[in-house]
Amino acid sequence: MKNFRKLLSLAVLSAFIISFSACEDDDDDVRVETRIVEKEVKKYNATIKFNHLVGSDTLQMNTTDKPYQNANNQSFNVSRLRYLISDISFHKADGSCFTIDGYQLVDATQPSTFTYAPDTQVPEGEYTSIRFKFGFDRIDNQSIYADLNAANWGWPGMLGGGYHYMQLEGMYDSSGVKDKFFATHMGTARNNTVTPTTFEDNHFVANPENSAITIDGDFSFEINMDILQWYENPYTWDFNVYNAPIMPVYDAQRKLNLNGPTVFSVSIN
Amino acid sequence: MRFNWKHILIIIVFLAACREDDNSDIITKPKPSDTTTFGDPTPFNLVLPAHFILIPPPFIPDSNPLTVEGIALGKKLFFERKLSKNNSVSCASCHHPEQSFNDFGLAFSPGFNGQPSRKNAMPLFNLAFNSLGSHPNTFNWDGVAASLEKQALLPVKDPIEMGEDWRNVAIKLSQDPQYPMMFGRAFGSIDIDSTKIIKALAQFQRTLISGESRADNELKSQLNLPYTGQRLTAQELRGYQIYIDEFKGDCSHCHGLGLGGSQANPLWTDFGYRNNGLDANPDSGLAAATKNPSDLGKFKTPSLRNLVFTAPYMHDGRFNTLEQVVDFYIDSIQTNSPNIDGFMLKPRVLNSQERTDLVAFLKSITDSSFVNNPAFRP
Repeated sequence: MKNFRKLLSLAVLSAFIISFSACEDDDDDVRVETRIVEKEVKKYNATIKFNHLVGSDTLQMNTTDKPYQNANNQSFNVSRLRYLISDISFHKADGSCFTIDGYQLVDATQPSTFTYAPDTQVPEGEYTSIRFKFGFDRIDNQSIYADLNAANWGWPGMLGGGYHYMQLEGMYDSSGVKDKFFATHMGTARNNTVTPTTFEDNHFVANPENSAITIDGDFSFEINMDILQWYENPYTWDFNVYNAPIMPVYDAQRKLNLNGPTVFSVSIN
Repeated sequence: MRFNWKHILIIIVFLAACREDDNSDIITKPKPSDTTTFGDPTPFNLVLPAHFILIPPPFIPDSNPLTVEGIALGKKLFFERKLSKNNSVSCASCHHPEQSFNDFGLAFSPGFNGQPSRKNAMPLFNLAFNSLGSHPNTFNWDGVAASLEKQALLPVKDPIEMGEDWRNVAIKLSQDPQYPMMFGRAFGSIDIDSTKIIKALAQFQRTLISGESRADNELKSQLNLPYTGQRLTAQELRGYQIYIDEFKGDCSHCHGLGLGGSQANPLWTDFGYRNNGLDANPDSGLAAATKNPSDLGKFKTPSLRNLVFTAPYMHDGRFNTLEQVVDFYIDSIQTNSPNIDGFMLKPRVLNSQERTDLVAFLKSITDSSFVNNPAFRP
């Protein structure tokens, strides 16, 4: 499908023009933008905080034991968690939305990355939901982001290139297996079971429940990642099948995409 | 009275001021620290290879901007043996420009009295980009230097490396016929102290940019940028595929996708500190700087540039050849080492041809123009 952008422009009446796009189709392949003209629209600063949970517990990194258990009764710990969130969007009941064009690379060992204060301000209004992309859409994934390049965040060209979406690593125990390493890395899904090989955009749009927000001043909210949800619902993950490496493993990449949408929740402050 | 250039220069400054200021009130004598005879130093713009657009700009601290005069002074100081106790060694004694500012194949370079130092000397290039990573602006294998300026404080007073007292260094340089004026031109006053010396050294070191090799040509070609010279051979390209293959070398998680097109990292490191599993009971590493037990055994991830000049390898120079390094990562990682990086725990299976190809590729990131650059010679 070709990229195209259809602009439905309404008359320009005021100096204050805010661009909203109809966002029911969050794929970047199709974007229908509607220009809604409003007078004196106020805009406010957003502050987003990231929390990392394992079930209802706060994630503890680098524990010597393996305090967590996946749905497959495999106990594990976490030694690395880095992930990429992009294009946080605010949706209205009429289907329009406002998107913050930007991204945050969160590193669970670097608390300074837990707070994201985008430069873009968000127009006042009543929004029914907050959504965001996990990873990058196809266009962003082909762009140059110098800080991500320097952080060795690239995804190998032989696997379709672009950037990592996530690196989640640790050690696990399973029946008969002890202290085995897993590296749940996610990015473009290479399918080399077909000829010619295809490279599938593997990002997803998180659309957490209960994320309605009324913006009438500077505001903040929290994005919570429940690590257990990467490994269940709908697909019950088996570390013995998908430990490391999984970047070149098509099924693993697609299953992470399927498990992803329930990973996130949003807390409105 | 000891012969002291500083006093003579103060007199010169005084006389010059009188000549220029004949009508001024004779009571207002210039003070000894008067700086008016020195104009502002000339700002220096670092020229970067075109493909370094892929990474954030170099870090130049506001407190130490690059200037032509500061860099010239830093270069002279870099080759200055008076920085050591018996005037026997300079920075360049362990960091030779023709070796990519590394030593000639020594695991432990000798200090001012011939005693071996405790860590393998690191090559010096692209240091201005070391503001990135998990511990930004930290230097040395173990991260104990909190800035490039502060790094230079350490070897001078180290009892093995240069063994000198900073006050003695300042006195020796003050007695030199050239240094007082060079400090004046670079920093506005002829007074010499350790702060100015380390600033000048840092300025010179920030100009050491290495970004021209056949591997760089390959990346430029990917980006449709012009380049001169050769790209990679078929064998080297095979080696790069092994380098990025998660089932094989999986080198890129730490050293980056150097040939990754728009997502490439031409520095070949993220400047992170990692325990790569050399020893079951590792050296302290980053824990020496942070006092954090979870940093035990972690050392700075070195760039893969200019490896043909930087043997032997690792923080203690235990491997003489790149073949030994590759064999180590495939066959000999101590997986029970504390704080070992997860990337070290993936199985790596390479046959002998693949190992040869990987080494051939690593040798292709060799920047001859850097080691031959006359701007970096005394």
